[in-house]
Amino acid sequence: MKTEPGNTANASLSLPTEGTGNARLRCEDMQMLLFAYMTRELGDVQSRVVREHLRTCEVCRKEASEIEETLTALRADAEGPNGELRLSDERRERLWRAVFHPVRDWIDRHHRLVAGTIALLSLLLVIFLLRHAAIWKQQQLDEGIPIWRMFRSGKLPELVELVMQEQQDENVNKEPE
Amino acid sequence: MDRQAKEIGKTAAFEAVVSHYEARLIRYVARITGCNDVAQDVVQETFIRLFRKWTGDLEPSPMLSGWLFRVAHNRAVDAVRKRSRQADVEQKHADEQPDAIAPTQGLSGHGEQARRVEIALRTLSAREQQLVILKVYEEKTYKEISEITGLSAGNVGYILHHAMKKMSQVLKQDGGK
Repeated sequence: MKTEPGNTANASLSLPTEGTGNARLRCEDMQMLLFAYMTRELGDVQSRVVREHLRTCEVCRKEASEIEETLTALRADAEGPNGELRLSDERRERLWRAVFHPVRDWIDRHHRLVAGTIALLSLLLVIFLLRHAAIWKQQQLDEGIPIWRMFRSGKLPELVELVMQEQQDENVNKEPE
Repeated sequence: MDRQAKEIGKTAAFEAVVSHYEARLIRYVARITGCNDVAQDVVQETFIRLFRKWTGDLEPSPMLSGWLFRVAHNRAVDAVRKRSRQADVEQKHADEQPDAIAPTQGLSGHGEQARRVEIALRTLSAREQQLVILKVYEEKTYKEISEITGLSAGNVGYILHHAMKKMSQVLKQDGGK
């Protein structure tokens, strides 16, 4: 019978306990448990059964020895990849910022979106100003001297007088109707 | 006042959790991704997620450990896939890469034995690598591994058994050369 995933636990549970002969155990089932046995995953009774089997079975002993060698080789590399095992200062800072200043962090993370939005708004503002500048300019052409120049040259009273005169003229023109 | 004290308490608890798990998580992710730099990024993101999503007590516990390893693993696999895709585009060496695992630059370098172990480890599938790393290096029990991965304990044992056999063969072949 081919062993399917998940059968290890079942196999370990169905291991014979006290007083059962090792001959009943198939080597294939036993080998499935060797790694669990070596990493102390099995209970006392199951461990004893595996130990007894290994004492009498040359094939399983060889298999166990290979697993042991592999485990030793793996454990020799326990240090793992080179490098700092602590978050770098930069990442630690970013972590605190993300946790305790989420808005600032959001802006940092979406800086392109933020920059794009600001650029777009600036562009819209410039277009708005240019458009209105054209209108103001047209008004200045229609009305003669720009009002800000009048302020600077101190001729504003003359302008006010002019406007009032124009209004009076208009009123006079309207009267005959 | 009470709220402020609560906030300070949460901050201190979060810092304690980061200090407690950062080294283990960085080492774990670095083994999966083969790059300490990527591992640092992944672990940083994992802690940010912890602060935002974790609803339980912020103190070291098996449940919190399982959650952190699970999130870190998922992000590590995403990072590896992303790097693999980039590598595919840049070098067109996709066929040479083992399943979902990145190139091995920047790995341990503790000598010939470490290199052999790294190569043997990289011949395993992503899932097998994950289980071997959790079992051998992080010394997790089958139960803990099953909580992290979502696999049954029996399945964990089955996959580990085959992973160790595969590694034994690779190490044997490599040693015979």
